[in-house]
Amino acid sequence: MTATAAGLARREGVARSTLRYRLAVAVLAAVLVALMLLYVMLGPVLFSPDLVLKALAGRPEEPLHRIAVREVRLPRALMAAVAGAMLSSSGALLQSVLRNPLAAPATVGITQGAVLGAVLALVLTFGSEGALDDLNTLVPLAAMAGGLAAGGLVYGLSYRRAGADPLRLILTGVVVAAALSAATSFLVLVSGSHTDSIIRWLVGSLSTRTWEHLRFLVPVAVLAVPLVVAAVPVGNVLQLGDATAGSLGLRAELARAGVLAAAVVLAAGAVSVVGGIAFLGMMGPHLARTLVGSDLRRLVVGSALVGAIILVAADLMARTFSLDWIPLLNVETESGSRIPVGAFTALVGAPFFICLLRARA
Amino acid sequence: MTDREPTIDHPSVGVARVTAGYRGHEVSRRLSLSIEQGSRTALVGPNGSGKSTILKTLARLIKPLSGAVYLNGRDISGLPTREVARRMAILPQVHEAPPELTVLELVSQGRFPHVGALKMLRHQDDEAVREAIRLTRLEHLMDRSVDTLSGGEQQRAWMALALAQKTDLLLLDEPTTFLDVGHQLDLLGLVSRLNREHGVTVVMVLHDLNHAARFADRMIAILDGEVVADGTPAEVLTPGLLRECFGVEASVMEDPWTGAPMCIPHTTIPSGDVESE
Repeated sequence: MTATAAGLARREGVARSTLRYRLAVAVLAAVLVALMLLYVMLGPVLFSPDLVLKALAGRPEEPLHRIAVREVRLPRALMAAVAGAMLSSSGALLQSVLRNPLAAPATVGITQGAVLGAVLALVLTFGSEGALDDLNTLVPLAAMAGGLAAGGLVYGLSYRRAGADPLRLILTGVVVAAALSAATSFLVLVSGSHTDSIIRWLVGSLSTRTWEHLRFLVPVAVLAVPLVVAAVPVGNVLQLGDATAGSLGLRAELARAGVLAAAVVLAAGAVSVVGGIAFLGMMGPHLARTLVGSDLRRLVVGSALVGAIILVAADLMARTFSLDWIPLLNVETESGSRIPVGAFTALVGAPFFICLLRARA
Repeated sequence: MTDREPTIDHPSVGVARVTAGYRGHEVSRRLSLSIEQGSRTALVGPNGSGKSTILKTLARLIKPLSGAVYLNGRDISGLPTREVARRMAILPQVHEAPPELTVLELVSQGRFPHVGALKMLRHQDDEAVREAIRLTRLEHLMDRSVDTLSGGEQQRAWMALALAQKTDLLLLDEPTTFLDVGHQLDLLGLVSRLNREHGVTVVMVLHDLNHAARFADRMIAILDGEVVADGTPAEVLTPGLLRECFGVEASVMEDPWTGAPMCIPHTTIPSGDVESE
């Protein structure tokens, strides 16, 4: 009897967690699609779902609809989804492999490196003939290089004798992140120009993002897919600790470097088009973990979906709310009175961070 | 690669003239040891004697500074680490599961050395995983997060991970630390059963000398990285050894229940007295 009962419990147990995972993915995917539809519908001109579909299908009732939907709102919605997914899954890989709940692209310096790269490109070319503005795709390229370099720097500085210990990686990352953002602040101060677009890079913004940027982001995301697929099973073993990983036949140091590389590519790619979005890379995996657990096969998928949802929702708010109604502020910038999306994720992220710390205490 | 027939000439695992430890801090010098197939060996010794370092060196978790570790007669450093993992599993002393990782997800990772990274992307619910869970009596906890289990259950879950590796050699580093006496007996009983019924060779570092005497058929006492006694529990667990190795005055008698030798420590001997004797 006990054997049968145990067998039943086991089968039910497996079914329960798998069922829960499938349900979570289905619900998250549905929420994401609904949010993106809403994203394309809302704006200075409201579109019904019907009009959106017509415009998407290339049969708009007015040519202007096609432009608003296909050239402005759709690419921006897609960008938010892809970048959010990349940042969040990068955070999932980092948290697992560094065995630290506070690990995220922005806590280990990848974000700051990419932002510095972008700001350098903007400042260095300012005033010259080939002056770049943040519409130019050379800026993402410079940001990508900055993010990758920062990742390499943190790993290199943490490496002693046999390897880079997870805790040392995090601590080095925090220091490097601080140094890189100080360098960025210094650049902004001495250049005294471009402040508006530089601030948008610092905080993270999706305004003025078009297909041009998506054409840069998507190849990076596609390139990252095989890296992530290879990183997931290895990260699953590595998150059990170096000794256990060694017992299971994994070269922990090599494996850690590989998983970190995948995380760096994901985060640097995302930051290089949307800027230093705060907290997303840490929040996404935490929320996903409560839904789908810590097995990286599920956590990476869950984190990607949650991250996409957060960034699309946050940017929807950023686009919808303006500060025009506060006359006292008298905001007038070249981008109008729009709040950058990064301000929204920070607004939600900071209290989330505090709650997390309190819950763990 | 063909499996060799186990013989005394090809011990399950052994070290030859190994200097173990860390650069600048050698724990043992030119140590040689060999473990016979199908045996249960307990490494005992005072804190800092180097027994854990020796176990980790056997487990190839620490590279020897010189000398070689042998597995089934072959130099372990020349074997692919995944192949070694199919023959030898280690239960490390400290381990921490990530939050929200279920017992089944943890135990499934034991299949990694057998199926390889890419196949681990698929669901692993084969016979080895189920058997490991059955042996450790975790059926009813399979879907629970490891970090929500009691200390005894957690240790069983990690033990199940090592068992899912399906190796014929099992190394345990102080497996009973943090367990109450019931769970200690439980775990060591399981280890003995694996040895008896499945022929698993066991090497374990144990702090409890009476457990070592009862659950091992060979005891190796280590002091300052050197073997000071090696033999059956009756040969090793003597008042003289307890004095030399642990600095305690103790009586040794026969355990009326198991017949194994059993010690009762009385007092510590002030250090210095031992050396002068």
